[in-house]
Amino acid sequence: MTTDPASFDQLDILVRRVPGVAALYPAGSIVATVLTATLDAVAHRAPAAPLVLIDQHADGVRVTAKIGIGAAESSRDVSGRVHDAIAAHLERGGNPPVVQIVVIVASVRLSV
Amino acid sequence: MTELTPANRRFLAFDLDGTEREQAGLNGHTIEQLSDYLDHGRLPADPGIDDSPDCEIALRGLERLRRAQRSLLERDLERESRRDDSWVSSILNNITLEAHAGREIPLTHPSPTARLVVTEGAVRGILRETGDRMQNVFVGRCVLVGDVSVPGTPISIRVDVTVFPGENIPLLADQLRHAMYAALSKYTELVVVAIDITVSDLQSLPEASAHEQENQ
Repeated sequence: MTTDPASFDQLDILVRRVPGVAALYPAGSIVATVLTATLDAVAHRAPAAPLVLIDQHADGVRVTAKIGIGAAESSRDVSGRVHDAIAAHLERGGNPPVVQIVVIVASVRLSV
Repeated sequence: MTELTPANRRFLAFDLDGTEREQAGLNGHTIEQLSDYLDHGRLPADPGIDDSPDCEIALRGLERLRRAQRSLLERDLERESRRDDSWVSSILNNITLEAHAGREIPLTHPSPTARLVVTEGAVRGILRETGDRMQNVFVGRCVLVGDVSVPGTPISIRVDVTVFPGENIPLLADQLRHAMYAALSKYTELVVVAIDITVSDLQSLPEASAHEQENQ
């Protein structure tokens, strides 16, 4: 089965569009994130590193998304929807099997 | 080497000193840097701050603290210069300490591929904001006691609060406890058996000076 990089690139947009998601944070390590941002700044280019992290293994892919949510809905509902959206998207794209989808709720905005 | 339990890890984090401790929790930034960032209207945009949930939680705490200070100032402007603001330092320290992500608290989902979690930092942020939204109370330290990483394990919450004048403290504590239970049940699946609230700081207006009393 082939990997479709285009479908991975769309994951940031996909997650941001899930109802209840108020923010999307880099899921990689802070060191890697800062390094990438610094290199982008030095090269005068738009930040390219995707926020949703994809690890490819021999048996499939592991996806990690770190989100902030609004006050209206529960963490379980919103993070569950993010999981389901990613799973459906990767299945449609003909990607390797999904081993795990990790969704981390890192902040909750009770008020704006 | 002694194995670290989750509880030990928490206390290990508390053992870090000053700036090192702050930076561990705020992705390389100090609380002063975040305060300056707020002063400048979050401009120029710093992705290192804007993209960090830990920094966002700390910034929101800072904003609420500033609003509370402004409210106090408006209420008692003429006595402000004599007010003891040590409570502000204490709350700032706790915002810094507790903004970091901490442990992962699981959420259930029927799919075998799903691993859903809410961070301990996010939960502390929820509790802090829930308290800060109430009138005349400000949340200081906030600790989740117990193994939050194992679903169904009973845990307790310990909260220190600062209370401002004019409140019935037992009633306020009851209201705060109910609000925190409601927030925890909405945003987590934690089994919370107790929320222990300690009023660690009771703010009162300073006594009028002898000079003022003479003039009255």
